[in-house]
Amino acid sequence: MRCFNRFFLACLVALISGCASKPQQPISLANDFVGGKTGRIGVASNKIPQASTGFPGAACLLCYAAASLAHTSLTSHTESLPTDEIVLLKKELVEVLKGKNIDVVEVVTPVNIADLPDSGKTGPDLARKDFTGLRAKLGIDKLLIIDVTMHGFVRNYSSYIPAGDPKAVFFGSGYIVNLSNNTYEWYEPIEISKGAPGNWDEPPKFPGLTNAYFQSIEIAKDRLLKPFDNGTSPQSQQTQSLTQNQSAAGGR
Amino acid sequence: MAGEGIIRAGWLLIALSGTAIAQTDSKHGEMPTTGNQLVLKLPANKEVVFRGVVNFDEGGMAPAGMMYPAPNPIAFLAAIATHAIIMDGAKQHQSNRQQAEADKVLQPYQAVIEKMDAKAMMSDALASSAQGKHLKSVEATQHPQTDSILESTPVFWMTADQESIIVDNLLNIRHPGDTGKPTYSNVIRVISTAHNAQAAQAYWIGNGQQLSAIAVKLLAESIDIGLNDANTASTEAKPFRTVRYYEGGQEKMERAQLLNEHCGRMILRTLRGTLMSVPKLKTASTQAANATCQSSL
Repeated sequence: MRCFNRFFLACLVALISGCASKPQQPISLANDFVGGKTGRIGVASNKIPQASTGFPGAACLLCYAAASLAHTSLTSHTESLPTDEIVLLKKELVEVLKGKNIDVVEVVTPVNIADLPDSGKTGPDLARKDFTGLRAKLGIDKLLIIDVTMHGFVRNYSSYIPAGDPKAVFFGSGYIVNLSNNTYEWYEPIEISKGAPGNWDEPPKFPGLTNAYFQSIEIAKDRLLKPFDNGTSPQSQQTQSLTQNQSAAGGR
Repeated sequence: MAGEGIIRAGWLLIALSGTAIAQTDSKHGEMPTTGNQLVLKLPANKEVVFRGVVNFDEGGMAPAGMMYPAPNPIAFLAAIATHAIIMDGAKQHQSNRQQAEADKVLQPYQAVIEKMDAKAMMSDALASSAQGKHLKSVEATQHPQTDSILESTPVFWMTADQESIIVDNLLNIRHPGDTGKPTYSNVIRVISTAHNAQAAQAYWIGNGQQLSAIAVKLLAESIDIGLNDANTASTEAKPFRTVRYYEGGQEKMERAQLLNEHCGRMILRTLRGTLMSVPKLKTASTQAANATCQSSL
């Protein structure tokens, strides 16, 4: 009985401490980052996931099945949305950093963050994954990562019943890891949620929600580019380049 | 109360029109020339509809679980149906509360808005519209048999920062014999340039009476854009881009085709097919380009 109690207590502590692990807090970019001695920076992203739909709150299997079934048209449209604009963000960041005379290189191959070994160390601003192995592999001193975890649409549920209209979302983060000590030098969590005015249920192309989706991407791009930019990025010059004939990145 | 009902109905019409148009295959740029004279049907009611701009990002409720009492399948279904009714009520309540909150921005202007006359505003807008100034107008009760009818249903909005007003104008063109669906139907949104004045209330309802004057200009611009769209054959498919513009003092974005830009403003076609005339973002290059050209909106 005593043994069982100890086992139960150990499980409880493990469970509670797991819940208590703090999410990484935002870290502002140091003022001397641009113009300071930053070393060579690699700009990478994870493998950008396909746009998808989610139904948080539809917790039971049957609830989720019902929610999925009710949104098959939206899900099918979501999966057809292009990721080009998110992929291009890496190149935009490279251009912005080059404009600041920073030694920068684009890491072409996506970094699979989940596959990296755990660092095994805890502490303020220490990365949980061990990025240091990439220093020699990529020949860089710091790694700037765009880590997109989800983009698409989310509709909150209360079991079987929708708790609101679907919203376009963009979840992820941007961060710089110093590869000599595996610490974050900049960390920007991104959680964007945009609603569509009027009726959202406009199959098959869902123009209202699609518009909100592209807005969420644009806001996320702003959040990731702004710390490095003082008005020289393609984003800040967007209105000036409107007349340029650029290809339409989907949406219609 | 009746007036409020009319206002609600008008607002609802505009709010849903984007979808309605998308679903009923809008025919922008395809208005067939019939040779009939086009006349504007004046609004039947005096009220001018003004609302506060709502932030749609804040709606909805947090996800939550629900335990249903289920002694048998019928009770289980009844519990779900009851839950659905309660949730619908809560969502509607939240939506109404959001709109009521947004409408508070109009409180200082209520007296001026109540004095506005929709018919006079429409006549003034027609007179100052480049394309519409040659059009005749008829009362709402008249039904000319040989003329094409232009119906205009505007709803005005004020931004939360009181920097701009917006019109959403549902324009329909009906040719003689048209029953049901109009030949042309589209919503045209025109956003005024932020006034940047020190005191918003003094600007809108002070001596200048800018609220009425700018509302008329926006309405005239929306009629011009709509008539131009209805009479112009659709051009080559332009690419859709995420275009940034100002709504009041705030930067906004829209996935749209850029149809035209002139004097610090852009005309866009949205993914829904509706049209927008919006102020461009101020950058060094746009300010230099517009130094000799200022829009009056």
